[in-house]
Amino acid sequence: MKSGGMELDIVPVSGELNVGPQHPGSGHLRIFVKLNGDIIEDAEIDPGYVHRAVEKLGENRNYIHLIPLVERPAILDSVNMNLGYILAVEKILNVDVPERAQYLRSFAAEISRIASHLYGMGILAIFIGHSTGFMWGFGDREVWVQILEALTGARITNSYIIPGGVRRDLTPAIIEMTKKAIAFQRKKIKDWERIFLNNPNIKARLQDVGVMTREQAIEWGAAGPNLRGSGVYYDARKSEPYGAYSKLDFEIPVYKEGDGYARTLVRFEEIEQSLRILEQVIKDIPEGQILSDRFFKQIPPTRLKKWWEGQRRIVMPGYYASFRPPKGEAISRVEAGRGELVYYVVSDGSAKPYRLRMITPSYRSIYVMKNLLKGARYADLVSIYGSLDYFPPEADR
Amino acid sequence: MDSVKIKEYKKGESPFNVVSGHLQAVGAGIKYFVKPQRITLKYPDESMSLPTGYRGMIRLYKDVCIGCTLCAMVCPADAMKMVTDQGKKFPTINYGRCVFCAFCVDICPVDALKETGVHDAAFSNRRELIFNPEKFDQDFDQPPLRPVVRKVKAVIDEDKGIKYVPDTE
Ligand code: SF4
Ligand code: SF4
Repeated sequence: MKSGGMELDIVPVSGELNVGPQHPGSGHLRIFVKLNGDIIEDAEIDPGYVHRAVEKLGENRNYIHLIPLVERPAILDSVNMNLGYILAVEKILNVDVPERAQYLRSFAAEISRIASHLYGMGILAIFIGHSTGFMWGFGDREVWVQILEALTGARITNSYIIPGGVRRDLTPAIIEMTKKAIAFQRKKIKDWERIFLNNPNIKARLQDVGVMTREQAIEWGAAGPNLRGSGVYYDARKSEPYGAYSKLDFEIPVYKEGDGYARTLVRFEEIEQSLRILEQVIKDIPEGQILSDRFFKQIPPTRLKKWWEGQRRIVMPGYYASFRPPKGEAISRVEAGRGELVYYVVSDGSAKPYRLRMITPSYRSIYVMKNLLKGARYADLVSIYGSLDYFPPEADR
Repeated sequence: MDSVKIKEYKKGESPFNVVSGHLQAVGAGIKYFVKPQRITLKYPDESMSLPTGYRGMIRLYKDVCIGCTLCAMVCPADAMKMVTDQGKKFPTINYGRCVFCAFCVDICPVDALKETGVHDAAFSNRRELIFNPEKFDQDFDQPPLRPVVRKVKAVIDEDKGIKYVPDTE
Protein backbone atom coordinates (compact mmCIF):
# COMPACT_ATOMS: atom_id res chain seq x y z
CA MET A 1 0.00 0.00 0.00
CA LYS A 2 1.29 3.43 -0.87
CA SER A 3 1.64 5.84 1.96
CA GLY A 4 -1.35 8.06 2.38
CA GLY A 5 -3.42 6.73 -0.49
CA MET A 6 -5.89 3.89 -0.73
CA GLU A 7 -4.27 2.29 -3.74
CA LEU A 8 -3.39 -1.34 -3.45
CA ASP A 9 -0.65 -3.09 -5.30
CA ILE A 10 -2.25 -6.28 -6.43
CA VAL A 11 0.34 -8.95 -6.77
CA PRO A 12 -0.93 -11.74 -8.97
CA VAL A 13 -0.57 -14.90 -6.98
CA SER A 14 -0.79 -18.33 -8.28
CA GLY A 15 -0.45 -21.36 -6.16
CA GLU A 16 -1.91 -24.54 -4.94
CA LEU A 17 -4.34 -25.03 -2.16
CA ASN A 18 -5.64 -28.03 -0.31
CA VAL A 19 -9.30 -27.58 0.32
CA GLY A 20 -10.35 -29.61 3.26
CA PRO A 21 -7.69 -31.00 3.56
CA GLN A 22 -9.85 -33.88 4.69
CA HIS A 23 -13.30 -32.64 5.38
CA PRO A 24 -14.38 -29.69 3.31
CA GLY A 25 -18.04 -30.13 4.09
CA SER A 26 -20.34 -33.04 3.58
CA GLY A 27 -17.80 -35.77 4.18
CA HIS A 28 -14.17 -36.71 3.84
CA LEU A 29 -12.58 -35.51 0.65
CA ARG A 30 -9.67 -33.43 -0.49
CA ILE A 31 -9.88 -30.92 -3.29
CA PHE A 32 -6.55 -29.87 -4.62
CA VAL A 33 -6.94 -26.60 -6.48
CA LYS A 34 -4.47 -24.72 -8.66
CA LEU A 35 -5.20 -21.05 -8.36
CA ASN A 36 -4.34 -18.15 -10.53
CA GLY A 37 -5.38 -15.22 -8.45
CA ASP A 38 -9.01 -15.85 -7.72
CA ILE A 39 -9.57 -18.22 -10.60
CA ILE A 40 -9.34 -21.97 -10.28
CA GLU A 41 -7.15 -23.17 -13.12
CA ASP A 42 -7.37 -26.80 -12.34
CA ALA A 43 -8.86 -28.95 -9.64
CA GLU A 44 -7.97 -32.43 -8.58
CA ILE A 45 -10.60 -34.27 -6.57
CA ASP A 46 -9.07 -36.74 -4.18
CA PRO A 47 -11.72 -39.14 -2.90
CA GLY A 48 -11.17 -42.35 -0.98
CA TYR A 49 -10.92 -41.24 2.64
CA VAL A 50 -14.02 -43.23 3.54
CA HIS A 51 -13.52 -46.17 1.26
CA ARG A 52 -14.88 -49.25 3.00
CA ALA A 53 -14.39 -51.83 0.31
CA VAL A 54 -18.08 -52.61 0.03
CA GLU A 55 -17.54 -54.47 -3.22
CA LYS A 56 -14.74 -56.65 -1.89
CA LEU A 57 -16.53 -57.31 1.39
CA GLY A 58 -19.51 -58.30 -0.69
CA GLU A 59 -17.61 -61.28 -2.01
CA ASN A 60 -16.98 -62.56 1.50
CA ARG A 61 -20.39 -62.29 3.10
CA ASN A 62 -23.74 -63.93 2.68
CA TYR A 63 -26.39 -62.13 0.68
CA ILE A 64 -28.39 -61.16 3.74
CA HIS A 65 -25.31 -59.77 5.48
CA LEU A 66 -24.87 -57.22 2.76
CA ILE A 67 -28.10 -55.35 3.46
CA PRO A 68 -26.69 -53.23 6.29
CA LEU A 69 -23.42 -52.88 4.43
CA VAL A 70 -24.75 -51.44 1.18
CA GLU A 71 -26.84 -48.96 3.16
CA ARG A 72 -23.85 -47.48 4.89
CA PRO A 73 -22.25 -45.53 2.03
CA ALA A 74 -25.23 -43.19 1.74
CA ILE A 75 -26.57 -43.53 5.20
CA LEU A 76 -28.95 -40.60 4.79
CA ASP A 77 -30.55 -42.29 1.80
CA SER A 78 -30.36 -45.83 3.08
CA VAL A 79 -33.72 -47.11 1.80
CA ASN A 80 -32.79 -46.48 -1.81
CA MET A 81 -29.39 -48.10 -1.34
CA ASN A 82 -31.05 -51.13 0.22
CA LEU A 83 -33.72 -51.30 -2.47
CA GLY A 84 -31.33 -51.36 -5.40
CA TYR A 85 -29.35 -54.23 -3.98
CA ILE A 86 -32.45 -56.26 -3.18
CA LEU A 87 -33.86 -55.72 -6.69
CA ALA A 88 -30.74 -57.28 -8.17
CA VAL A 89 -30.80 -60.21 -5.75
CA GLU A 90 -34.50 -60.76 -6.45
CA LYS A 91 -33.83 -60.97 -10.16
CA ILE A 92 -31.41 -63.83 -9.55
CA LEU A 93 -33.74 -65.52 -7.07
CA ASN A 94 -36.63 -64.95 -9.45
CA VAL A 95 -39.22 -64.09 -6.81
CA ASP A 96 -42.39 -62.11 -7.17
CA VAL A 97 -42.97 -59.33 -4.72
CA PRO A 98 -46.55 -58.74 -3.54
CA GLU A 99 -48.22 -55.52 -4.56
CA ARG A 100 -48.48 -54.15 -1.06
CA ALA A 101 -44.77 -54.60 -0.51
CA GLN A 102 -44.08 -52.76 -3.77
CA TYR A 103 -46.08 -49.80 -2.54
CA LEU A 104 -44.32 -49.91 0.81
CA ARG A 105 -40.97 -49.90 -0.95
CA SER A 106 -41.91 -46.80 -2.89
CA PHE A 107 -43.26 -45.25 0.29
CA ALA A 108 -40.04 -45.75 2.22
CA ALA A 109 -37.91 -44.79 -0.77
CA GLU A 110 -39.69 -41.47 -1.21
CA ILE A 111 -39.36 -40.62 2.47
CA SER A 112 -35.71 -41.39 2.12
CA ARG A 113 -35.47 -39.15 -0.94
CA ILE A 114 -37.12 -36.23 0.87
CA ALA A 115 -34.81 -36.67 3.84
CA SER A 116 -31.81 -36.92 1.55
CA HIS A 117 -32.71 -33.76 -0.38
CA LEU A 118 -33.29 -31.84 2.84
CA TYR A 119 -29.89 -32.94 4.02
CA GLY A 120 -28.30 -31.86 0.75
CA MET A 121 -30.02 -28.50 0.81
CA GLY A 122 -28.94 -27.96 4.41
CA ILE A 123 -25.34 -28.64 3.44
CA LEU A 124 -25.57 -26.35 0.43
CA ALA A 125 -27.00 -23.62 2.67
CA ILE A 126 -24.20 -23.78 5.20
CA PHE A 127 -21.63 -23.90 2.41
CA ILE A 128 -22.79 -20.58 1.11
CA GLY A 129 -23.10 -19.08 4.56
CA HIS A 130 -26.82 -19.51 5.16
CA SER A 131 -26.83 -21.24 8.52
CA THR A 132 -30.61 -20.97 8.91
CA GLY A 133 -31.02 -23.23 5.90
CA PHE A 134 -28.67 -25.72 7.48
CA MET A 135 -30.75 -25.85 10.66
CA TRP A 136 -33.97 -26.07 8.70
CA GLY A 137 -32.74 -28.82 6.45
CA PHE A 138 -31.67 -30.96 9.36
CA GLY A 139 -34.70 -30.04 11.47
CA ASP A 140 -37.22 -30.86 8.73
CA ARG A 141 -35.39 -34.07 7.98
CA GLU A 142 -35.99 -35.16 11.54
CA VAL A 143 -39.73 -35.33 10.87
CA TRP A 144 -39.19 -37.87 8.10
CA VAL A 145 -36.65 -39.76 10.12
CA GLN A 146 -39.29 -40.15 12.83
CA ILE A 147 -41.65 -41.72 10.33
CA LEU A 148 -38.97 -44.13 9.18
CA GLU A 149 -38.30 -44.95 12.80
CA ALA A 150 -41.94 -45.79 13.39
CA LEU A 151 -42.08 -47.85 10.20
CA THR A 152 -38.79 -49.71 10.35
CA GLY A 153 -37.64 -49.52 13.95
CA ALA A 154 -34.47 -47.57 13.25
CA ARG A 155 -33.89 -43.94 12.45
CA ILE A 156 -31.55 -44.22 9.50
CA THR A 157 -30.03 -47.67 9.38
CA ASN A 158 -33.36 -49.06 8.31
CA SER A 159 -32.49 -52.41 6.70
CA TYR A 160 -36.14 -52.45 5.79
CA ILE A 161 -36.23 -54.23 2.47
CA ILE A 162 -35.47 -57.93 2.30
CA PRO A 163 -35.63 -60.31 -0.65
CA GLY A 164 -39.28 -60.98 -1.39
CA GLY A 165 -40.78 -58.03 0.41
CA VAL A 166 -40.38 -55.69 3.33
CA ARG A 167 -40.08 -56.31 7.04
CA ARG A 168 -42.89 -54.30 8.55
CA ASP A 169 -46.32 -53.13 7.53
CA LEU A 170 -47.84 -49.69 7.48
CA THR A 171 -50.04 -48.99 10.50
CA PRO A 172 -52.82 -46.39 10.86
CA ALA A 173 -50.60 -44.47 13.29
CA ILE A 174 -47.88 -44.13 10.66
CA ILE A 175 -50.40 -43.02 8.04
CA GLU A 176 -51.57 -40.34 10.46
CA MET A 177 -47.99 -39.22 11.08
CA THR A 178 -47.29 -39.08 7.37
CA LYS A 179 -50.36 -36.99 6.62
CA LYS A 180 -49.30 -34.47 9.23
CA ALA A 181 -45.74 -34.48 7.98
CA ILE A 182 -46.89 -33.82 4.41
CA ALA A 183 -48.95 -30.85 5.56
CA PHE A 184 -46.02 -29.57 7.60
CA GLN A 185 -43.52 -29.92 4.79
CA ARG A 186 -45.75 -28.15 2.27
CA LYS A 187 -46.10 -25.18 4.61
CA LYS A 188 -42.43 -25.16 5.40
CA ILE A 189 -41.44 -25.19 1.74
CA LYS A 190 -43.28 -21.89 1.35
CA ASP A 191 -41.00 -20.45 3.99
CA TRP A 192 -38.00 -22.13 2.42
CA GLU A 193 -38.84 -20.20 -0.72
CA ARG A 194 -38.96 -16.94 1.18
CA ILE A 195 -35.81 -17.37 3.18
CA PHE A 196 -33.73 -19.39 0.74
CA LEU A 197 -34.86 -19.82 -2.84
CA ASN A 198 -36.10 -16.28 -3.45
CA ASN A 199 -33.44 -14.73 -1.28
CA PRO A 200 -31.37 -12.43 -3.54
CA ASN A 201 -28.18 -13.43 -1.71
CA ILE A 202 -28.74 -17.09 -2.49
CA LYS A 203 -29.63 -16.30 -6.08
CA ALA A 204 -26.42 -14.31 -6.43
CA ARG A 205 -24.39 -17.23 -5.15
CA LEU A 206 -26.06 -19.89 -7.29
CA GLN A 207 -27.30 -18.39 -10.53
CA ASP A 208 -24.89 -18.71 -13.44
CA VAL A 209 -22.44 -20.52 -11.18
CA GLY A 210 -21.20 -23.94 -12.19
CA VAL A 211 -23.07 -23.95 -15.48
CA MET A 212 -23.23 -27.33 -17.17
CA THR A 213 -24.84 -27.50 -20.58
CA ARG A 214 -27.05 -30.36 -21.66
CA GLU A 215 -24.28 -31.81 -23.82
CA GLN A 216 -21.71 -31.52 -21.09
CA ALA A 217 -24.01 -33.13 -18.54
CA ILE A 218 -24.42 -36.13 -20.82
CA GLU A 219 -20.77 -36.30 -21.76
CA TRP A 220 -19.51 -36.01 -18.18
CA GLY A 221 -21.99 -38.57 -16.94
CA ALA A 222 -23.90 -36.43 -14.46
CA ALA A 223 -26.66 -38.22 -12.59
CA GLY A 224 -29.96 -37.47 -10.94
CA PRO A 225 -30.95 -33.90 -10.10
CA ASN A 226 -27.67 -32.62 -11.52
CA LEU A 227 -28.52 -34.12 -14.88
CA ARG A 228 -32.09 -32.89 -14.74
CA GLY A 229 -30.92 -29.42 -13.78
CA SER A 230 -29.20 -29.33 -17.16
CA GLY A 231 -32.32 -30.05 -19.15
CA VAL A 232 -32.08 -33.81 -19.55
CA TYR A 233 -35.26 -35.71 -18.85
CA TYR A 234 -34.05 -38.88 -17.25
CA ASP A 235 -35.18 -40.69 -14.16
CA ALA A 236 -34.85 -44.41 -13.51
CA ARG A 237 -38.29 -44.41 -11.88
CA LYS A 238 -39.76 -43.55 -15.27
CA SER A 239 -37.40 -45.26 -17.67
CA GLU A 240 -37.40 -48.58 -15.87
CA PRO A 241 -40.12 -48.50 -13.21
CA TYR A 242 -39.61 -50.59 -10.10
CA GLY A 243 -41.55 -50.69 -6.85
CA ALA A 244 -44.97 -49.21 -7.44
CA TYR A 245 -43.78 -46.34 -9.59
CA SER A 246 -45.51 -47.50 -12.74
CA LYS A 247 -48.82 -47.03 -10.95
CA LEU A 248 -48.04 -43.73 -9.33
CA ASP A 249 -48.54 -40.36 -10.90
CA PHE A 250 -45.62 -38.01 -10.53
CA GLU A 251 -43.61 -35.59 -12.60
CA ILE A 252 -39.92 -35.29 -13.18
CA PRO A 253 -38.85 -31.68 -12.70
CA VAL A 254 -36.36 -30.62 -15.36
CA TYR A 255 -34.69 -27.23 -15.64
CA LYS A 256 -32.83 -25.86 -18.60
CA GLU A 257 -30.17 -23.56 -17.16
CA GLY A 258 -27.74 -26.11 -15.76
CA ASP A 259 -26.45 -23.85 -13.00
CA GLY A 260 -26.45 -24.33 -9.25
CA TYR A 261 -29.79 -22.63 -8.90
CA ALA A 262 -31.47 -24.92 -11.42
CA ARG A 263 -30.15 -27.97 -9.57
CA THR A 264 -31.48 -26.56 -6.31
CA LEU A 265 -34.88 -25.92 -7.84
CA VAL A 266 -35.00 -29.46 -9.17
CA ARG A 267 -34.39 -30.81 -5.67
CA PHE A 268 -37.07 -28.67 -4.09
CA GLU A 269 -39.60 -29.64 -6.73
CA GLU A 270 -38.70 -33.28 -6.30
CA ILE A 271 -39.61 -32.98 -2.64
CA GLU A 272 -43.07 -31.82 -3.69
CA GLN A 273 -43.37 -34.72 -6.14
CA SER A 274 -42.33 -37.14 -3.43
CA LEU A 275 -45.01 -35.72 -1.14
CA ARG A 276 -47.53 -36.37 -3.89
CA ILE A 277 -46.31 -39.96 -4.19
CA LEU A 278 -46.68 -40.47 -0.45
CA GLU A 279 -50.26 -39.22 -0.61
CA GLN A 280 -51.06 -41.63 -3.41
CA VAL A 281 -49.47 -44.55 -1.62
CA ILE A 282 -51.51 -43.86 1.49
CA LYS A 283 -54.65 -43.68 -0.60
CA ASP A 284 -54.12 -46.53 -3.02
CA ILE A 285 -52.10 -49.09 -1.15
CA PRO A 286 -53.73 -52.49 -1.69
CA GLU A 287 -54.34 -54.94 1.12
CA GLY A 288 -52.38 -58.10 1.21
CA GLN A 289 -49.14 -59.70 2.18
CA ILE A 290 -45.85 -57.92 2.38
CA LEU A 291 -43.65 -60.92 1.77
CA SER A 292 -43.56 -63.24 -1.19
CA ASP A 293 -45.54 -66.43 -0.66
CA ARG A 294 -42.47 -68.54 -1.29
CA PHE A 295 -40.84 -67.24 1.92
CA PHE A 296 -44.02 -66.51 3.82
CA LYS A 297 -44.97 -70.18 3.79
CA GLN A 298 -41.70 -71.06 5.53
CA ILE A 299 -42.42 -69.00 8.64
CA PRO A 300 -43.52 -71.22 11.54
CA PRO A 301 -47.28 -70.82 12.13
CA THR A 302 -46.91 -69.87 15.80
CA ARG A 303 -44.59 -67.05 14.86
CA LEU A 304 -46.88 -65.91 12.07
CA LYS A 305 -49.69 -65.62 14.55
CA LYS A 306 -47.67 -63.65 17.02
CA TRP A 307 -45.86 -61.30 14.66
CA TRP A 308 -47.78 -60.98 11.41
CA GLU A 309 -51.27 -61.17 12.81
CA GLY A 310 -50.42 -59.50 16.08
CA GLN A 311 -48.02 -56.75 15.10
CA ARG A 312 -48.03 -56.67 11.30
CA ARG A 313 -44.41 -57.64 11.25
CA ILE A 314 -42.67 -60.14 9.08
CA VAL A 315 -40.20 -62.45 10.72
CA MET A 316 -37.59 -64.27 8.75
CA PRO A 317 -37.66 -67.95 8.00
CA GLY A 318 -34.35 -69.69 8.60
CA TYR A 319 -33.85 -69.72 4.82
CA TYR A 320 -32.51 -66.18 4.92
CA ALA A 321 -29.49 -66.98 7.07
CA SER A 322 -27.51 -68.36 4.16
CA PHE A 323 -29.60 -68.81 1.05
CA ARG A 324 -27.99 -69.92 -2.19
CA PRO A 325 -29.46 -68.31 -5.27
CA PRO A 326 -29.09 -70.13 -8.58
CA LYS A 327 -26.18 -69.31 -10.85
CA GLY A 328 -26.76 -66.12 -12.70
CA GLU A 329 -26.22 -62.42 -12.89
CA ALA A 330 -28.46 -59.41 -12.57
CA ILE A 331 -28.28 -55.70 -12.88
CA SER A 332 -30.63 -53.28 -11.21
CA ARG A 333 -31.20 -49.56 -11.44
CA VAL A 334 -32.93 -47.36 -8.94
CA GLU A 335 -33.26 -43.64 -8.72
CA ALA A 336 -31.65 -42.80 -5.40
CA GLY A 337 -31.78 -39.31 -3.94
CA ARG A 338 -28.65 -38.22 -5.77
CA GLY A 339 -29.34 -40.03 -8.99
CA GLU A 340 -29.22 -43.36 -10.68
CA LEU A 341 -27.75 -46.13 -8.58
CA VAL A 342 -26.67 -49.34 -10.28
CA TYR A 343 -25.97 -52.73 -8.80
CA TYR A 344 -24.53 -55.66 -10.64
CA VAL A 345 -24.58 -58.97 -8.83
CA VAL A 346 -23.07 -62.23 -10.07
CA SER A 347 -24.02 -65.44 -8.34
CA ASP A 348 -22.02 -68.64 -8.68
CA GLY A 349 -24.59 -70.66 -6.80
CA SER A 350 -22.95 -70.26 -3.41
CA ALA A 351 -24.23 -68.33 -0.40
CA LYS A 352 -21.99 -65.36 -1.21
CA PRO A 353 -22.04 -63.20 -4.31
CA TYR A 354 -19.23 -63.91 -6.73
CA ARG A 355 -19.13 -60.24 -7.56
CA LEU A 356 -20.98 -57.17 -6.38
CA ARG A 357 -20.64 -53.98 -8.35
CA MET A 358 -22.10 -50.80 -7.01
CA ILE A 359 -22.10 -47.59 -9.02
CA THR A 360 -23.26 -44.70 -6.91
CA PRO A 361 -24.49 -41.34 -8.20
CA SER A 362 -21.98 -39.36 -6.14
CA TYR A 363 -19.17 -41.27 -7.78
CA ARG A 364 -20.31 -39.86 -11.06
CA SER A 365 -20.28 -36.34 -9.64
CA ILE A 366 -16.51 -36.40 -9.13
CA TYR A 367 -15.73 -35.81 -12.78
CA VAL A 368 -18.54 -33.31 -13.09
CA MET A 369 -17.20 -31.34 -10.15
CA LYS A 370 -13.66 -31.36 -11.52
CA ASN A 371 -14.85 -29.94 -14.81
CA LEU A 372 -17.17 -27.38 -13.29
CA LEU A 373 -14.47 -26.09 -10.96
CA LYS A 374 -12.12 -25.31 -13.84
CA GLY A 375 -12.35 -21.62 -14.55
CA ALA A 376 -14.62 -20.88 -11.62
CA ARG A 377 -13.85 -18.34 -8.96
CA TYR A 378 -12.39 -19.75 -5.79
CA ALA A 379 -15.30 -18.43 -3.72
CA ASP A 380 -17.66 -20.43 -5.91
CA LEU A 381 -16.01 -23.72 -5.08
CA VAL A 382 -18.32 -24.30 -2.15
CA SER A 383 -21.36 -23.28 -4.11
CA ILE A 384 -20.54 -25.73 -6.90
CA TYR A 385 -19.70 -28.50 -4.47
CA GLY A 386 -22.90 -27.93 -2.51
CA SER A 387 -25.15 -27.62 -5.53
CA LEU A 388 -23.97 -31.01 -6.80
CA ASP A 389 -25.01 -32.56 -3.46
CA TYR A 390 -21.86 -34.61 -3.56
CA PHE A 391 -21.60 -37.00 -0.65
CA PRO A 392 -18.09 -38.46 -0.29
CA PRO A 393 -18.90 -41.72 1.56
CA GLU A 394 -21.36 -42.58 -1.19
CA ALA A 395 -18.72 -42.03 -3.85
CA ASP A 396 -16.03 -43.93 -1.98
CA ARG A 397 -18.21 -46.92 -1.06
CA MET B 1 -44.18 -41.73 -21.10
CA ASP B 2 -45.29 -38.36 -19.85
CA SER B 3 -44.88 -35.21 -21.80
CA VAL B 4 -41.48 -33.73 -21.15
CA LYS B 5 -41.62 -30.25 -19.76
CA ILE B 6 -38.33 -28.42 -19.47
CA LYS B 7 -38.73 -25.43 -17.24
CA GLU B 8 -36.78 -22.21 -16.99
CA TYR B 9 -36.61 -19.86 -14.09
CA LYS B 10 -36.78 -16.10 -14.43
CA LYS B 11 -33.43 -14.36 -14.44
CA GLY B 12 -32.52 -10.72 -14.06
CA GLU B 13 -34.55 -9.15 -11.34
CA SER B 14 -35.62 -5.56 -11.10
CA PRO B 15 -34.24 -3.60 -8.13
CA PHE B 16 -37.72 -3.62 -6.69
CA ASN B 17 -37.79 -7.41 -6.67
CA VAL B 18 -34.40 -7.54 -5.04
CA VAL B 19 -35.55 -5.31 -2.21
CA SER B 20 -38.75 -7.25 -1.73
CA GLY B 21 -36.78 -10.51 -1.85
CA HIS B 22 -34.56 -9.31 0.96
CA LEU B 23 -37.55 -8.10 2.95
CA GLN B 24 -39.31 -11.44 2.55
CA ALA B 25 -36.25 -13.35 3.69
CA VAL B 26 -35.84 -11.13 6.73
CA GLY B 27 -39.57 -11.40 7.40
CA ALA B 28 -39.41 -15.19 7.34
CA GLY B 29 -36.47 -15.00 9.72
CA ILE B 30 -38.40 -12.79 12.11
CA LYS B 31 -41.37 -15.14 11.98
CA TYR B 32 -39.25 -18.01 13.21
CA PHE B 33 -37.53 -15.78 15.72
CA VAL B 34 -40.87 -15.02 17.33
CA LYS B 35 -42.29 -18.52 16.91
CA PRO B 36 -39.33 -20.86 16.83
CA GLN B 37 -39.61 -24.47 15.71
CA ARG B 38 -37.06 -25.65 18.19
CA ILE B 39 -36.72 -29.41 18.37
CA THR B 40 -33.70 -29.72 20.63
CA LEU B 41 -34.28 -32.23 23.36
CA LYS B 42 -32.75 -31.22 26.66
CA TYR B 43 -31.23 -34.55 27.43
CA PRO B 44 -30.86 -35.76 30.21
CA ASP B 45 -33.48 -33.49 31.74
CA GLU B 46 -35.82 -34.72 29.06
CA SER B 47 -35.57 -38.13 27.56
CA MET B 48 -37.44 -39.53 24.62
CA SER B 49 -39.47 -42.72 24.85
CA LEU B 50 -38.91 -44.88 21.84
CA PRO B 51 -41.75 -46.32 19.78
CA THR B 52 -42.75 -49.95 20.13
CA GLY B 53 -40.73 -52.06 17.79
CA TYR B 54 -37.71 -49.80 18.11
CA ARG B 55 -34.61 -51.81 17.40
CA GLY B 56 -32.58 -51.13 20.51
CA MET B 57 -30.52 -53.39 22.76
CA ILE B 58 -31.37 -57.04 22.56
CA ARG B 59 -32.02 -59.55 25.28
CA LEU B 60 -31.96 -63.31 25.30
CA TYR B 61 -34.36 -65.66 27.02
CA LYS B 62 -31.99 -68.41 27.92
CA ASP B 63 -34.64 -70.90 28.91
CA VAL B 64 -36.38 -70.53 25.55
CA CYS B 65 -33.28 -70.70 23.34
CA ILE B 66 -32.75 -74.02 21.61
CA GLY B 67 -29.21 -73.30 20.48
CA CYS B 68 -29.98 -73.52 16.78
CA THR B 69 -27.24 -70.97 15.85
CA LEU B 70 -29.44 -69.24 13.27
CA CYS B 71 -29.00 -65.88 14.98
CA ALA B 72 -25.24 -66.13 14.81
CA MET B 73 -25.46 -67.18 11.17
CA VAL B 74 -27.64 -64.28 10.09
CA CYS B 75 -25.75 -61.63 12.03
CA PRO B 76 -24.19 -59.32 9.43
CA ALA B 77 -21.67 -57.84 11.83
CA ASP B 78 -20.46 -61.05 13.49
CA ALA B 79 -21.68 -59.57 16.75
CA MET B 80 -23.44 -62.71 17.78
CA LYS B 81 -21.32 -65.75 18.50
CA MET B 82 -22.26 -69.09 19.93
CA VAL B 83 -20.65 -70.35 23.13
CA THR B 84 -21.15 -73.58 25.01
CA ASP B 85 -22.44 -73.16 28.52
CA GLN B 86 -22.93 -76.32 30.60
CA GLY B 87 -23.14 -78.43 27.49
CA LYS B 88 -25.73 -76.20 25.83
CA LYS B 89 -25.17 -73.71 23.08
CA PHE B 90 -26.10 -70.09 23.65
CA PRO B 91 -25.42 -66.86 21.79
CA THR B 92 -23.29 -64.05 23.16
CA ILE B 93 -23.50 -60.54 21.83
CA ASN B 94 -20.75 -58.00 21.31
CA TYR B 95 -22.27 -54.54 21.33
CA GLY B 96 -19.03 -53.18 19.95
CA ARG B 97 -19.95 -54.85 16.67
CA CYS B 98 -23.74 -54.96 16.68
CA VAL B 99 -25.42 -52.69 14.11
CA PHE B 100 -28.94 -53.13 15.58
CA CYS B 101 -30.44 -54.59 12.45
CA ALA B 102 -32.53 -57.03 14.52
CA PHE B 103 -32.11 -59.75 11.91
CA CYS B 104 -31.32 -62.06 14.83
CA VAL B 105 -34.60 -61.21 16.54
CA ASP B 106 -36.50 -61.77 13.32
CA ILE B 107 -34.91 -65.10 12.53
CA CYS B 108 -34.97 -66.80 15.94
CA PRO B 109 -37.48 -69.63 15.38
CA VAL B 110 -38.59 -69.74 19.03
CA ASP B 111 -38.56 -66.02 19.78
CA ALA B 112 -35.81 -66.31 22.35
CA LEU B 113 -34.50 -62.86 21.43
CA LYS B 114 -36.28 -59.59 22.00
CA GLU B 115 -35.71 -55.95 21.17
CA THR B 116 -35.80 -54.11 24.46
CA GLY B 117 -36.31 -50.65 23.01
CA VAL B 118 -33.55 -49.28 25.23
CA HIS B 119 -30.69 -47.49 23.58
CA ASP B 120 -29.11 -45.26 26.18
CA ALA B 121 -26.00 -47.11 27.21
CA ALA B 122 -22.50 -46.23 28.19
CA PHE B 123 -19.62 -48.56 28.82
CA SER B 124 -16.27 -47.66 30.26
CA ASN B 125 -14.45 -50.69 29.00
CA ARG B 126 -14.47 -52.57 25.73
CA ARG B 127 -14.80 -55.93 27.46
CA GLU B 128 -18.06 -54.81 29.02
CA LEU B 129 -19.53 -54.61 25.54
CA ILE B 130 -19.51 -58.38 25.28
CA PHE B 131 -22.49 -59.91 27.03
CA ASN B 132 -22.13 -63.54 28.00
CA PRO B 133 -25.32 -65.62 28.11
CA GLU B 134 -25.85 -64.82 31.81
CA LYS B 135 -25.73 -61.08 31.28
CA PHE B 136 -27.54 -61.37 27.98
CA ASP B 137 -30.38 -63.13 29.77
CA GLN B 138 -31.46 -59.95 31.57
CA ASP B 139 -33.31 -56.89 30.44
CA PHE B 140 -30.72 -54.29 29.73
CA ASP B 141 -31.25 -51.35 31.95
CA GLN B 142 -28.71 -48.80 32.97
CA PRO B 143 -30.38 -46.37 35.31
CA PRO B 144 -29.01 -42.92 34.55
CA LEU B 145 -26.73 -41.43 37.17
CA ARG B 146 -28.99 -38.43 37.32
CA PRO B 147 -32.62 -39.41 37.24
CA VAL B 148 -34.52 -38.31 34.18
CA VAL B 149 -36.85 -35.48 35.02
CA ARG B 150 -39.27 -35.74 32.14
CA LYS B 151 -40.12 -38.54 29.74
CA VAL B 152 -41.35 -37.19 26.44
CA LYS B 153 -42.72 -38.62 23.25
CA ALA B 154 -42.14 -37.10 19.83
CA VAL B 155 -45.30 -36.47 17.85
CA ILE B 156 -45.54 -34.97 14.41
CA ASP B 157 -47.24 -31.63 14.28
CA GLU B 158 -48.52 -29.82 11.22
CA ASP B 159 -47.15 -26.49 12.37
CA LYS B 160 -44.08 -27.29 14.35
CA GLY B 161 -42.79 -30.39 12.66
CA ILE B 162 -41.93 -32.25 15.82
CA LYS B 163 -43.51 -31.61 19.15
CA TYR B 164 -42.58 -33.26 22.40
CA VAL B 165 -45.46 -34.22 24.62
CA PRO B 166 -45.13 -35.72 28.10
CA ASP B 167 -45.22 -39.47 27.93
CA THR B 168 -47.66 -40.86 30.41
CA GLU B 169 -47.62 -44.58 30.81
S1 SF4 C 1 -29.03 -56.84 15.81
FE1 SF4 C 1 -28.01 -57.41 13.89
S2 SF4 C 1 -25.85 -56.95 14.26
FE2 SF4 C 1 -26.83 -56.98 16.26
S3 SF4 C 1 -26.54 -59.05 17.00
FE3 SF4 C 1 -28.52 -59.02 15.96
S4 SF4 C 1 -28.10 -59.65 13.88
FE4 SF4 C 1 -26.14 -59.08 14.80
S1 SF4 D 1 -31.77 -68.20 16.94
FE1 SF4 D 1 -32.86 -68.15 18.88
S2 SF4 D 1 -32.99 -70.30 19.48
FE2 SF4 D 1 -31.45 -70.19 17.87
S3 SF4 D 1 -29.52 -69.95 19.01
FE3 SF4 D 1 -30.23 -67.88 18.52
S4 SF4 D 1 -31.39 -67.28 20.32
FE4 SF4 D 1 -31.16 -69.47 20.45
